[in-house]
Amino acid sequence: MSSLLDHLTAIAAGTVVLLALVTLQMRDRVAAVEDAVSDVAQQQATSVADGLAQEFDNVLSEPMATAALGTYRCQLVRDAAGERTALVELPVFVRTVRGGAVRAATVRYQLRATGRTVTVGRTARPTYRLTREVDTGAGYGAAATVAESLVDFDVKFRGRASETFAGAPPLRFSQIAFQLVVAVTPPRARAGHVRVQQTNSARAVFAVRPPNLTTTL
Amino acid sequence: MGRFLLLLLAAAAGGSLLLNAGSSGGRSHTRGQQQSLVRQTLDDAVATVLDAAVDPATRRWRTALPLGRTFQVDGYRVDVEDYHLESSGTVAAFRLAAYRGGVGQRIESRYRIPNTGWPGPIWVDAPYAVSQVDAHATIDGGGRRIYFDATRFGAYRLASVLNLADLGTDFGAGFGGVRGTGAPFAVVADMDAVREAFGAPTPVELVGRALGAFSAQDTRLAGPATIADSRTYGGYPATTPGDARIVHVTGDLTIASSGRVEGNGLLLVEGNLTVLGRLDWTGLVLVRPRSQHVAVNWADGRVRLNGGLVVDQEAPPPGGHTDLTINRDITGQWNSSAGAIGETGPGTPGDAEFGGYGRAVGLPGLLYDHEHRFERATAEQRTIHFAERGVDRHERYTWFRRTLTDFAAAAPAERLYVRFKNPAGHGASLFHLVTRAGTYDGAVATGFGAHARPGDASASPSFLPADLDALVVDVQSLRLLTRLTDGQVPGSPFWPYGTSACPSRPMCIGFLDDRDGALAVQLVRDTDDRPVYEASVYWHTQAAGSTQFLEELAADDAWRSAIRGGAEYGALVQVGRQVTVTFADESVGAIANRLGFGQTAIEHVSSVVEHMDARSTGTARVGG
Repeated sequence: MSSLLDHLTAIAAGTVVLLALVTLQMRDRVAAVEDAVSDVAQQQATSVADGLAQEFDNVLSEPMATAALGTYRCQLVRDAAGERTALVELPVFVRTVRGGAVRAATVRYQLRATGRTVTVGRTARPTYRLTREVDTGAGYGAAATVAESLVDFDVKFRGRASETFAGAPPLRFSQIAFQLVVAVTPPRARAGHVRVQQTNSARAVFAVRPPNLTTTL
Repeated sequence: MGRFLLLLLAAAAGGSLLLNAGSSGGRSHTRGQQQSLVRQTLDDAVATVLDAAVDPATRRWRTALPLGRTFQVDGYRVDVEDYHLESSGTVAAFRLAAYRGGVGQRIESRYRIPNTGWPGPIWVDAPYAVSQVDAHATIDGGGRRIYFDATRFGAYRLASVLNLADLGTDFGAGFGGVRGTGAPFAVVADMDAVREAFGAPTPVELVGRALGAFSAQDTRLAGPATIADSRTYGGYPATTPGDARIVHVTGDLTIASSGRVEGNGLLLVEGNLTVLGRLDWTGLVLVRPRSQHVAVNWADGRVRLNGGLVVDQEAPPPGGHTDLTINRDITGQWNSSAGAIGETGPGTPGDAEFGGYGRAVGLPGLLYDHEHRFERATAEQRTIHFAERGVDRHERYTWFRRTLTDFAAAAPAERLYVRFKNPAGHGASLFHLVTRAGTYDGAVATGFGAHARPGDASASPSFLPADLDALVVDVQSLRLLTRLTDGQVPGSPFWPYGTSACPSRPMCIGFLDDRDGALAVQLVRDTDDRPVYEASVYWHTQAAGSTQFLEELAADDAWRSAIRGGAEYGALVQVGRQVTVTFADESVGAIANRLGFGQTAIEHVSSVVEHMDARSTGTARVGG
């Protein structure tokens, strides 16, 4: 009898502990799903921002662009509502072939609405596609998609004493600052009875000081 | 009980495993910051490479980078992936990589050191020049030219008596047939553009820098001098920057057939240079006479010049003269540039002690004193001795010592300094200032160099009035002073009479705050930078039709007639068979480094940045 009681007590206690741990586990899964969604957004934001930072790092000064390309196209354009950057055009060094020689070109980034929305928090926000085109002297080539799910994109040109969100760079143009927000569509995931409150957007903020604009000795 | 515990442990272990399995990986929230840190490391690394890549002795790129394959910056390792020179050694190209945390960047940069140092193997700045060149002589120009600066030919209107086109035959042709790689001959109307392209000073600036840098290791020989023994100045060829010496000969120099001079640096000869023996020199040889005819006679001697020969000869036509106009206010409270008319008392224009000229012409207040045709009034021509302790030979013209004394009496323990106002009208002047604190020599055009008062290259260190021993301003070129002619409208913005002409420059210059652009030697109060004394020095020419004007016109005609008649005029450069001139920037590097010219900035050509994932090096991307 005592042996039976001993077994029952052990089973009851073990069950209680196991249930407690499973409950903890379920809550952690909720957090993990949140993290996974956030990580996806974060990784996309970082990836896009890295690519832009690298591009902007290789911007040419006006004399360099004029000498290499015969023209200097460098501008920012805001969208109609003036809420985000719709176009960035810059002279840069690029490799048109992987591992190939570096050459001067003009690059254009354009932001266009996808027609879709994504819910961020409780707000439905339109998403935008960012494309990149390269002109090495024969006009712009085919547009490549850089990002598909941006909800915000802001670029500004900074000079030594001023900055601009639109138009040509200011005097003594020396820095490019940008921020972008990526939002991903959350999975309709449920964990137990707890609805996942996902953080499904990520912001990346960069400031780049291109050496071809800033190198002074 | 044992089973109970086992079950409990099993449950705990199982829960932990589930817990671990559900955890996500780490997140990268600081990538942007890491990129910035890597960039900062690379920026510092680029600066380190540039510091190491330039040879300070020659101001050229080193062929190999003395940093090794890796070096540390900010505590982080930087890899030197490549370093090489391009464009005939003028461009250094290097590729560096740095990593921090999970990110890496690579930068490939190109920097240029522009052609600096000196324009070429021979530079003649004279009204005219003739050469006699033996075809067996050797000229290796290093791709540079032999220049004749036609500025003086034009300024003296020599086209009325000589033909500039003949220079090609009279001077340039001889150099065309020599041995070696040669150097093309060029007549240039704007030598300043050429000179500035190489970061080279004018000849007078070079002399000023040399006098300013002159020290115990250098040599001054009173001219005329003959050297009949062997002398070494600084080592030949140059081995270190410290070898560059200055040898200053204050007149003609002859190296006798038994003589041998070798050295490195600047050989400055203020007269003819004749080599009958041997001259082995690395750097610059500057021949700078005051005569109407100068000879560089290397016909019979053996000359090995690694560097450049410069001939700087003024030889001006007659015409005009130097005026010296003195204004002062020892209180430093000028009511006008010359004080207020009618003021009396010490230190004011109306004071009897200083009333001289102004009072004599009935215009007290315009001038303290004025010396017309200064070079004719003094035995020293245009050398103005403002102060010489115990002598003060020009005190009657300058009022300088008395100003010092009066200032000391009026403001005991206050300090003064010397400043050259309007140094653009420098007259190729050299100065010599001696105070208790030190001796300062140089060219007015370049000022006091490292000794200058902070923020003002033309201002000396300050001194107590009693501590000033000597101030001499040696105006070497009347033509390079500001020219002011009677009967013309002053160009000064302070001229209050519109288009009305100034009948007498001495009076106008005394009236105008800016001295009508003329060089002014000032004494300035140290406490508030207010001038208390100004001596204006300028090239004064008379109004057309005046007696003096007609006299000068006649003298000019006689001078031109003499040249037209074959009188020796200009520079004669004789180059014999034993002469070898080899030019390269490196050969003038040591003296350029010592005298601080040719130090043009390193130019950034281009940079390309590649972002890399540190975990997969070598997969860099450019352009997204």
